[in-house]
Amino acid sequence: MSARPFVPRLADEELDLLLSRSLDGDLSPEEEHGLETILAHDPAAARRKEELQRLVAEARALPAPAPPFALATRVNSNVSEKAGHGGSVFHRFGFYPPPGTAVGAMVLLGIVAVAITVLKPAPLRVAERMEGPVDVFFTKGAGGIAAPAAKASGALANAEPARAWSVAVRGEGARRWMLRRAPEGRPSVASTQASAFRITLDAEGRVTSVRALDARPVQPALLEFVRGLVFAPVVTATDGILRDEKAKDERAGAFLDRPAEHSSEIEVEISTR
Amino acid sequence: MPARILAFDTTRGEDPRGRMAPVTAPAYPYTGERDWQGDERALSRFFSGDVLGFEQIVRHYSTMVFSLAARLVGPTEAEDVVQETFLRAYHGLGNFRGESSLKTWLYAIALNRARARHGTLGRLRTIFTPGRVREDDPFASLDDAADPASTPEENAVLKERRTRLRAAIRALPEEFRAAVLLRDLEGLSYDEVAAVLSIPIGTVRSRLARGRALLREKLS
Repeated sequence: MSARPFVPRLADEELDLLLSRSLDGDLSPEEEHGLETILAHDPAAARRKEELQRLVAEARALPAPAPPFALATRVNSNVSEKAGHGGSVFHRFGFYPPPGTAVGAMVLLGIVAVAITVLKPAPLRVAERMEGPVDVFFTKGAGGIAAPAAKASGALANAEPARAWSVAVRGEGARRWMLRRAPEGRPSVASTQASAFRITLDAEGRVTSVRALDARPVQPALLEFVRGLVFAPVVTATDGILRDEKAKDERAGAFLDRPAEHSSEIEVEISTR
Repeated sequence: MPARILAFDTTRGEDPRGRMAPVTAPAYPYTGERDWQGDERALSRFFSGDVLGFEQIVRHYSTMVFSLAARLVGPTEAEDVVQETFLRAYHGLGNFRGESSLKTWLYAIALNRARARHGTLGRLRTIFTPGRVREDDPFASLDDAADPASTPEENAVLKERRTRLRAAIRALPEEFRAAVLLRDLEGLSYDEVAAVLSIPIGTVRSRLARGRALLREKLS
């Protein structure tokens, strides 16, 4: 009595893999023998093989698409034309952007343009003019309360109390005004093109420090101008930090009638352009 | 058989007709399979500055590339894919190191070009291209070839079967479709399919098996 051969049970995926490789002649003799054993004892697997065989035979018999007339000539002509005359700039560097890149780039540019339009910062509001043709702009910012300074500067007299203000003085008039205020040691044009300072005021609205935000050295005449802007006495200190040692200056007292509850800061940007 | 190493002199000679600027490349070791005896000769001519070498390559492989492109994107757009493939090949031959055969290299380019056409940007371009008529079935003409020895009824049945099979292949997920197309319709070996798709041979086997099983399920 002969023993029944061992027939392994395979999952569908494993059987499909074996059948597929068998059709391509990719199985080793041992694997082929094992597959034949399975097929001999499993009618469903044998049917599966027949279906797969027929399918692959049909696929391989599908007619190949016939190329259009003179395809190679047209391709050569096209390559010659585009390569000989430079073609696309991208092509010359071996870079072939996918089709529609130009459309995509235009859409992207449109989105960026819309975003810039929508998200652009609110325009600076023009405050009242100070002495001479000087435009003083102010915007809200983060920081302390600058209401006393606003009152003192006059430029912010009509402004609502806020936590902080950035003040920008621009225009040719600013330079003239500054020069008029500081006849001695006139600042050079280079140093007066634009300068920024952070002025700190205490709870009573007195200037306690003026810090130059520019990396450039600040000329004394320019500091004088800033001091005049906030109407507060300032003395020079080292390292670009000016500390007010005359906080009880008479002029400062003029705007102490409404002291703030907290210390505050005011940023001043001066531009003569 | 040991791999032959050919060194091409890229410094001499210019395009005799002054049309195409030849792509210069460093000495190029060609170690890939030689499907066509003319590969080496054509490449050698091309790298020495003779554009006729590239024209030979186009003449030999354009039908093959068209066949794959037509099966991927339909005959209408296939010529565009062929043009893009050879233009890209022209500029890219300088970087061709011969790690695969020229045939699989061209197939890989054609496959990528066809994929790009069917990607999002490609569809956008199709939509916005003026005058482009949308076809219901751009592959329909592929199944028109009739067997003169068969009756009209048999040809009608054959055409229907072919149409169903093509539709089932097109409906396969992309990774399986590419493997089935390259192996069963284009007749590439496992090694060549692996080279075109840049995947290991084991993955080729499994994708092919899975693709064929899906086809069998769809058509049974």
